[in-house]
Amino acid sequence: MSRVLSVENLGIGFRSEGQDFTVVRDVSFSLEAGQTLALVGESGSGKSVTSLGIMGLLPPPPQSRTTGRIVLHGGDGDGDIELLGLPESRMRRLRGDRIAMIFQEPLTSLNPVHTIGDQIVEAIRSHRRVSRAKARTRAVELLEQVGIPDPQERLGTYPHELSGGMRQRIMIAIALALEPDILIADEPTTALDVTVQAQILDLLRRLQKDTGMAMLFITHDFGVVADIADRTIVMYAGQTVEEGRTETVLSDPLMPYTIGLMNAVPRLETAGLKLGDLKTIEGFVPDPAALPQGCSFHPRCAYMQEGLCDTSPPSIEDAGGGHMVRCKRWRQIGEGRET
Amino acid sequence: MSMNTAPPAMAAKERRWITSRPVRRFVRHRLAIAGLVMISAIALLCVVGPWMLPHGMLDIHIRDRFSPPGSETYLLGTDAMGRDLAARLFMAGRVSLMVGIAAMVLSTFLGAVIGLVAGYFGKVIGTVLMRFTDAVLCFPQIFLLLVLAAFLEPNALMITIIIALTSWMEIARIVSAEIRSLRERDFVTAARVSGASHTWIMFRELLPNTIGPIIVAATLTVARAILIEAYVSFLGYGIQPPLPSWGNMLNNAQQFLDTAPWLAIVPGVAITLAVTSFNFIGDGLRDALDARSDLQ
Amino acid sequence: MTADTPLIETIELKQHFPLRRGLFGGSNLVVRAVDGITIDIGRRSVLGLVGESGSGKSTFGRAVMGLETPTSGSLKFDGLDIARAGSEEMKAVRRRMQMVFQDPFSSLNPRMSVANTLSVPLRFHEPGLSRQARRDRAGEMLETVGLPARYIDRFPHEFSGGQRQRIGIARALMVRPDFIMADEVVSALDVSVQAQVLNLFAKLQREMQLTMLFITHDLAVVGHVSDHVAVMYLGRIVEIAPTRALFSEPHHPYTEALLSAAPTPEARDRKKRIVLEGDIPSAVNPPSGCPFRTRCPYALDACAEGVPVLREVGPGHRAACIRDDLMLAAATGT
Repeated sequence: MSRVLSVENLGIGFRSEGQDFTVVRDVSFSLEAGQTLALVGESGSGKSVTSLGIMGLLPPPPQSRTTGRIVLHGGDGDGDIELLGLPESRMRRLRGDRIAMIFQEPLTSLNPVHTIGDQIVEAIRSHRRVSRAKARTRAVELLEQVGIPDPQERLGTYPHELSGGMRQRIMIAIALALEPDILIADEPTTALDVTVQAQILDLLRRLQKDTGMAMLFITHDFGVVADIADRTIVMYAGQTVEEGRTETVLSDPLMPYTIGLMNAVPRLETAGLKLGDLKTIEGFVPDPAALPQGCSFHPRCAYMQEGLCDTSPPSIEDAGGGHMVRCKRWRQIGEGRET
Repeated sequence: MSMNTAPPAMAAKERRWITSRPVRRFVRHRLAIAGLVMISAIALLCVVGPWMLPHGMLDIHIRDRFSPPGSETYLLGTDAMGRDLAARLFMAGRVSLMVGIAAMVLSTFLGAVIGLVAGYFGKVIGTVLMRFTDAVLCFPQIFLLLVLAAFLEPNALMITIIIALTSWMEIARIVSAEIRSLRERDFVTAARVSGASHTWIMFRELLPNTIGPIIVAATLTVARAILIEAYVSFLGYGIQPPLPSWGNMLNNAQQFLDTAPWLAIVPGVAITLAVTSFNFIGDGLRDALDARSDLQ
Repeated sequence: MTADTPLIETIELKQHFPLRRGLFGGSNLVVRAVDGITIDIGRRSVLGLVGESGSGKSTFGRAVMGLETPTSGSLKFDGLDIARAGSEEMKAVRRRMQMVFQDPFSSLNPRMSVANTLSVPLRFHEPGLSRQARRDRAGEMLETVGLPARYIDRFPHEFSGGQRQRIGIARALMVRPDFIMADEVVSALDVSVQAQVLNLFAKLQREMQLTMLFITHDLAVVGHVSDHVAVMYLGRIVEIAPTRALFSEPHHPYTEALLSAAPTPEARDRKKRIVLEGDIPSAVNPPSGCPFRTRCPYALDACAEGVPVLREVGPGHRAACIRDDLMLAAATGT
């Protein structure tokens, strides 16, 4: 297993109407070839901004500030590349080539006036010096790879003629055109129906096995996480609050926010049993311009202890086997469960 | 924007309208502010100016005919009959601005109602109304104006009505397009399910949501109405002397263009300033009000 | 009105839309959005309606609300045939049926304060009320849905998505309806907020004895809130059952596939999952026979002959599949 990307102490802030606020704070993780890391969180958690930061797609300073390090590790003989502060021209060459991205709504990312064939060919030829014919052959291969029937004919169709699931397949084909080391998938199945979502998740898993790419999968859905991710990071108010192997995080969560989210989702297993109310997390995700003192989750936390949680921010600790938790009370929470 | 973060109002203190986003955006628009200042100055001069000057607009001073601007007591000079040009300019400004604004009010009302009904009912009524609007739009406006003015008595009121009748179409089209997109929003269905009447939905649910584009279009309509009034009056079909308007002042000036050019320059500059100011304000309002984020 | 008759009954309800084509129209293609639905919703019960996009579930909801005129079939509310009702009767029915929407951002008029938004139903259904009385009722209703009454003069942009959804619910309840149609009401909300809104629905349904049609694409949500669940595919009901029975003993292959595809945090054996091929076919040109047969892993040649009818397969449990021999997998993955 080789490391393809390291993110160290990433911080991202924005300036809007004279006000500064930080939306990502001190986030660190790494991506390994052939592995999938999920970033889970609700809206406002900073998960999507993190991915845009890696892609270098944030607005330029002073509208945004980025601190920390994002290092793309060289594969075959190339050295490591520090992505932060990289000139846009070099970043543009890496984007699509070594790091590719797919989004929630493929329709807005595809150009409506060009055929999908042209768009794939264009994606290839913007990075590689190959002939049109060669690029077209590659496009057919790609469409085949992402499970589109009659790829030859499909090259001539326009995005609006395809269903949502088909469009997402096209986006994946474009993303994979240059065999990137890293695929960032930002809620790629959220807009799709469950049966189509299952298809796309299967496809991504299969493609990862074939190409050995690393995946950063951003989602709000723990069900999807369970399905696709090897490791999981739970984000809240711009911070990593829990991290570990997916099975560990989902079956033995220690951070109260993760526990709360897991409890808030209705389960298929208990459907129709009328078990009463779902457990909820009261209150709101805090405004990034006015974060609470101490732990940013403490005003909503069921395990909050006065004088401990509301004084100083907790640091992230190892609860064993790389299961990282940002909570001062994780020991008590873990013990409470065992008894 | 995120959906579930703390609502803005709870985080920030209550905001007054003066610091609200559209107002701040407008204030940042330099030309619009310049336009606003200019129009205010012109309006103020037109209202109080005539009282500040030593001569009335109809006072004839035969010996002082064709005094150039700045001479003795005549700030902007005098015309062929020795009347004070400044006094005439300000009085004419009252007429021209009044005609412009009144025509705007009337045409905005007409356009908004037609656009609203057309946009809301769609189908047959909408199609008929919009085709009618297009038909009126196809007519050359000036030609229509001149024909109407030739048949009707050309006083200020009539000119206002004529201008309004020939300039409501743009607003109608803007409003109908806005309404057609708003009509599909859930809040309109919600009002229907609540038992609301068509009138309620049109005037209370939909119309307030188109106020931004209407204000912008209305401002630009004032500019155009002033220009049209000047044009028609210049051709002699508009406001009739001795009542001055910027347009008929230009008409009187044309025969003295080489001997007393200020007679044309002064009202010409006034028209230009007023029209460009209204256009700048319109642009500023468009930038300030058109931001979609505001509707959300 | 009697307690045992259903509040809502549809019989072979169809809702077809002509497909406009080209400049001169001239095509007689129709979208068969709802293609013959017969369903009862019992008093004070919640019927969940699940289906994917294109299944026609929202169109069915709109038809029930009287927002569309059905192409054919009948719709009865409390025994009254809507198509034959007079305008006075219709007005009374409209008061008793209200609706909550999916998008909390487009369902509230951005230029209207909460007080005004909540007053609209009262203005038209209880015209005798004074302005102050309407305001008082609006304030009380805000408290009922879990918002402080002092928010009454605020505007929609001052609220979060979850709070807006509460306001939307409050509006629906202002005229004390008997029936609520809820169309994807939690799908735009974050997980933690979704749970709050679902709990609110459950509480209100209990306290106000509401009958509900709860439309969603989310099986887990529908399983949590409903007494009965109907599964819709391409304009038809393919299975309908008491909730527990549907999730533990599905009798239609499509229900099985949906249950199997729904992601769940419980680690499941991925190999067991049934992944359907392709997309839902077009409602303009649905497959002959069983609408699901083109994607069905168990389809036989016989499935192309005639649309299968809903057959009784258990108590209150009906499925539209001709195969009796299937042992389908349940939600629990056993």
